[in-house]
Amino acid sequence: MSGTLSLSRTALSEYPPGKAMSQSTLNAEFERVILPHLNSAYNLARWLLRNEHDAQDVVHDSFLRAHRYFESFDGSDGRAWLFGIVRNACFSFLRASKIQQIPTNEDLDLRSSGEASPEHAMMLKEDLQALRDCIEALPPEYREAVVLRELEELSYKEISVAAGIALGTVMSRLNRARIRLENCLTAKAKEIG
Amino acid sequence: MNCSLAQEMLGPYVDGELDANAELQLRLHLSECESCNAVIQRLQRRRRMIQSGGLRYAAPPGLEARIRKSIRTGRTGSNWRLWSAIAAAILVASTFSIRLTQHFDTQDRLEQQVISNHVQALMTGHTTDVVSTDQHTVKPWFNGRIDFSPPVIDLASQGFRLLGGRVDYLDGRAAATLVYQRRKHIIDLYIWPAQAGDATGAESSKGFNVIRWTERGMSFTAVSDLNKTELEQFRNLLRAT
Repeated sequence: MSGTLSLSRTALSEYPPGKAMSQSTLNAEFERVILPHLNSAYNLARWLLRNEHDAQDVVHDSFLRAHRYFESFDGSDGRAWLFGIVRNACFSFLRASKIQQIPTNEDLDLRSSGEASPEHAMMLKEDLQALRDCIEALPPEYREAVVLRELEELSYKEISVAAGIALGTVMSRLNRARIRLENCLTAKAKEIG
Repeated sequence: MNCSLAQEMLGPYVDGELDANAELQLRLHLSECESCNAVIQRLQRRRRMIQSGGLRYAAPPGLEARIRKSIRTGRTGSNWRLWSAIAAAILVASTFSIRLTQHFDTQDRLEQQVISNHVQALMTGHTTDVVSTDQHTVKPWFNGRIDFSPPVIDLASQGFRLLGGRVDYLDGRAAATLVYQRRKHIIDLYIWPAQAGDATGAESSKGFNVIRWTERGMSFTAVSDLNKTELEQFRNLLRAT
């Protein structure tokens, strides 16, 4: 519910069609204010969708959507505004395709292939692989909180704006995500031995 | 501060999100609690690992050029199936997301969630999104934010002052949260449409009292560090109105 609510709040509300700004000025402004956040947008989509092709599609469409509703953007925080659009598109996509659960073996194989490394580097690589797997295994709402906080370094307030949730919910999601992450990593460490 | 409360604050502490007062209280606790210090070190270690692990994905080459191109030509660059799927999904999204989130949170008891939510709101000083003692200001504020209209009742003359409201997500449900004050105690009143299986009754945990009841199709949960007798009085006043 949070997803659709904030989509309607950020993107669909109060879109004034013929505002007095030429299309080329608008495009230039969009490319200046919103487009620089492409990597951030892609990072979020890639983690939420766990698939490169879907992430590209959803990000591309999110930017077009952002562009279409750019005049309703209040000029404050372009990145948080864009995150709101991207995450809503991702969650809608997940619901539509119901692929939000297990990563495929193919994905795992692709990532773990690589050159042989010295033992300490192998350990580090295994740790990182475990970390990656454990983040991917989080429920999408928790994964979103971790990605926005740790990788995109958003404040709780910014996350609450982007995800359309209360500040307390940001905190409890992060708390629970971290507990799950820790449990998962402990379990993996035992597996490896 | 007891340890179980402190543990909920460790994440926000490491994130630099506690307000000055909460941070001070936590630091007092940290000066004498080894296990909480260990958790902080682990959280910091984990953060370094996540941030230095090359886990951030960069947009593939070519994506930016494709986006620029479709912005200039004003055409959608990618498949229509995606958006028709999304449009269909939005129609059913509210139902779905409720189920999804319920699924994730099954292990977390609602009561614990309500208490954490209450504590976290107090900790960050973020208790209200709409600040008003006027019920006729608070009630309309919820329009468009949630899909039901909670009863908003002012009990100032009975010693429970309405401070405002906010929207929370608990157990996968959107809750209209009304904030009241009794002397120096804050009461959070969580309201959502009643569902089969909603519990009722009074309990206490971690020094907080929780009272739940349903009435006229709505489920109410009042949480506060106020004593049980006065919290029950609060409930009775609301029910009588």
